Amino acid sequence: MSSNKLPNAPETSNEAKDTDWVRVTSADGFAFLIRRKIANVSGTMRSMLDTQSNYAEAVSSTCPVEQRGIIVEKMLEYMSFRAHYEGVGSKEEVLIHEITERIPPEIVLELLLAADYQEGALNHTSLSTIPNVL
Amino acid sequence: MARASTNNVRGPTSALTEFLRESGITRASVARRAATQNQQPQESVAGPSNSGNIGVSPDNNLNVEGNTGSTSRRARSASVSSNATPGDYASDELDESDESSAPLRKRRKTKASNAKQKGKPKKKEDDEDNDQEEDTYTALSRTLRSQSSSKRPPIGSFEDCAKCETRFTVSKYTISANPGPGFLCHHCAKAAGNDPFKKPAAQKKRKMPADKRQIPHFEERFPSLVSTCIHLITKHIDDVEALGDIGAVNLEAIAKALAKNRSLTPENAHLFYGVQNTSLILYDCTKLTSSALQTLPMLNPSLVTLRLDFCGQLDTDTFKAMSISLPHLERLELLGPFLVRSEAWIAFFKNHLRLKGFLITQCPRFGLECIKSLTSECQSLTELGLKEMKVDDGWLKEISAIGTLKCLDLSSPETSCSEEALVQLLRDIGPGLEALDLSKHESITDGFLDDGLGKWTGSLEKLFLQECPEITDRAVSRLFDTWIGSGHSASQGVDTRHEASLDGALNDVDGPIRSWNKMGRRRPTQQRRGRGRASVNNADVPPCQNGPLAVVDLARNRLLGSRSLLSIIRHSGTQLKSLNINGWKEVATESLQEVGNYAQELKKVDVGWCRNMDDSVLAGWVGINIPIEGSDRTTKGRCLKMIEVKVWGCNRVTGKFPMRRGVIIHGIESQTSG
Repeated sequence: MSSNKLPNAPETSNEAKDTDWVRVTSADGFAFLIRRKIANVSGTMRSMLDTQSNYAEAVSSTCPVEQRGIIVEKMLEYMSFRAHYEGVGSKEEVLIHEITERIPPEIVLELLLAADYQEGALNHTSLSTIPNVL
Repeated sequence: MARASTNNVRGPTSALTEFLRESGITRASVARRAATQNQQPQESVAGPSNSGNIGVSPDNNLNVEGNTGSTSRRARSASVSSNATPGDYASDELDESDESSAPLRKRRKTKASNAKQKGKPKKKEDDEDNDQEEDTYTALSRTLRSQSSSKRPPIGSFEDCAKCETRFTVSKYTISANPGPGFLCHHCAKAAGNDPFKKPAAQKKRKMPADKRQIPHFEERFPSLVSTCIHLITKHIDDVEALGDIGAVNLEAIAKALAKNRSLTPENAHLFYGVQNTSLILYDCTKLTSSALQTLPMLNPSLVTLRLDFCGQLDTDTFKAMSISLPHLERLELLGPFLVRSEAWIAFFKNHLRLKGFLITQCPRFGLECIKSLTSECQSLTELGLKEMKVDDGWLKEISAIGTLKCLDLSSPETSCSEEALVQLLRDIGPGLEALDLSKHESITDGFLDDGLGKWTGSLEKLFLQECPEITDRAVSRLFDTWIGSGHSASQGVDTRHEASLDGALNDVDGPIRSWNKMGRRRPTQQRRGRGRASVNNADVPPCQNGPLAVVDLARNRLLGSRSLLSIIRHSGTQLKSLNINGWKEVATESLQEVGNYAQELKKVDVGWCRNMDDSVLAGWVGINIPIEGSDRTTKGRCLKMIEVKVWGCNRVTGKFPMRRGVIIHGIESQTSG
């Protein structure tokens, strides 16, 4: 990460650690603080918060998502759930129903649009291989 | 082999081969050993096995194929003595010293006795099982194993049974006696408990490593948020209120999100249905079965416009049902209705006399009779699209009867229509046309531009002529000049003086080109509708004028260049919203700069594979804070409405300059290759 850093540059800002806190804001003014590791689940957020880039989002570690607060909350919930299971072994069972049960049907369409906007793990679809969770 | 034995010329051999040859082990001897061992291990004792001259005369008694009755009898008689000392045949030990042969013999003996003991209760085991018990050292090589099927005498020959000594005919099912040698007649084989008709066990398949290791991928175990949402939608589809209120804009976005994942299914398609729906677009119907498509018109009876992409499962019966139950339909757009036959199309036209728009792509079963029905039934058709179809001159004649037509798309035909037929089509309906797409009609030449577009248009706003390789730079330039009202003197052909001045303008871009652009850009358009059919000779018809175009797409016509581009922006610059000059490799930097100066309404530009496109041109379009030479002030690009520029293949564009926000530049090489 710090390979192309100038030798005299201060050590403080350019290091990106998984345990950093980043802020995700919603369209209606809610703000959520999450670990960078969780934000990296979304490819879009990862690019926005990439410390090597000079985007305003990266500089301020704040990533706006143009959705309602409850949608952003659910999305981040999914992301942290996913980040939690990222490193587990193949034997361990993924309790996917835990997250599906937490998504109320009232917001599922909006959530779909929000997820559709994000790149990466939120948006891959392999419907044929999805276990029958419902 | 034969050659090697007659002369002594040999090629280089490996140390092992050399050693084996010195020991007298040859291919023949190994084959013989294999044949004999596999049949009855003792059979080949007829030849002295350990006397040191094995294989020197390979053809001596190796008679595997033509094992007639007499030879086998001889072999059997020889084997009588060898039965007493079953371990005598020891060609395996050839490469060992005599001292070591004694313990080895012992070991083999014990092994043989073990096999005997084992063999008693397991008598029913067939040969295949015995094969598996072989130890790896004595096991045959694979090639020899395949040869071993020839151990049996040829089918149809006579053989004496090894047990009851009656003569029998060798058949496919004849099996060897156990213990050998010889073969058993059918009765004895059955009596011994072997099933002669038993099929050989299927060869063991070696498992591929990939088959063995099936580790479920993380992605497979953990569905994405999108697929989770889609599943939830499908689950709650019957309870639409639970899904909350959906706006029209959101519905469109949801339809696209579902299509992107190819996850529109018969179950969740209901999300987009409604009795009051007047418009429906489904971007990917791949998974909608014909029965699901039959329910679509039932649940959306008030549809006015309908668009179904990838509707490959729409078949004749479904489409007939659709044509009956959508009484208000005015515009139909289908992509890929392969299965719909002529009769269904004709029935559809008869039921929809008010049809205004009919656009289909890729439908090989749509024939001339359908076109005839369309032209006779649907009198108010304004939009017709027959893309990627078998369009021919006969169709054009029918289409030219539709006087109300405004938008015509006949692009990418299977074979190009003739130029004369296309000119005739324009004579009939050209003056009324607002959009015309004749891409990939390869027969189009300059003649079509001069006699067709140059004379029989007037209200054209969108022109698509992609991949017409015959049209030239001069002809396109002439066409747009004609539309302005300059370039041609009324009824004469090409004005050579004007052409020459054009050349001058192009050679000296900074001078004349400016004055050239000050010429009038827009003249009142000439109303020519209805005049066409009365005219006798096309050559006498004066060129027409046409207002500025909003969309010009002349991509992949590599003969076109600066001259055409300048004429286009001079004619249409004020109104041009979309310009596609992809593949105009020779177009000059200066004329590209003119685009920025005069086409300020532009929203989308594709300048892919224009070699002279560079950063300065792009900055002149969409850049900001461009320093002006000789002063401290800066300027900015002049295409303020631009939202999309495609520069694929323009390797002089680096994009490293400040750009206006909201502009998307596609295909900058230094950004995409990384």
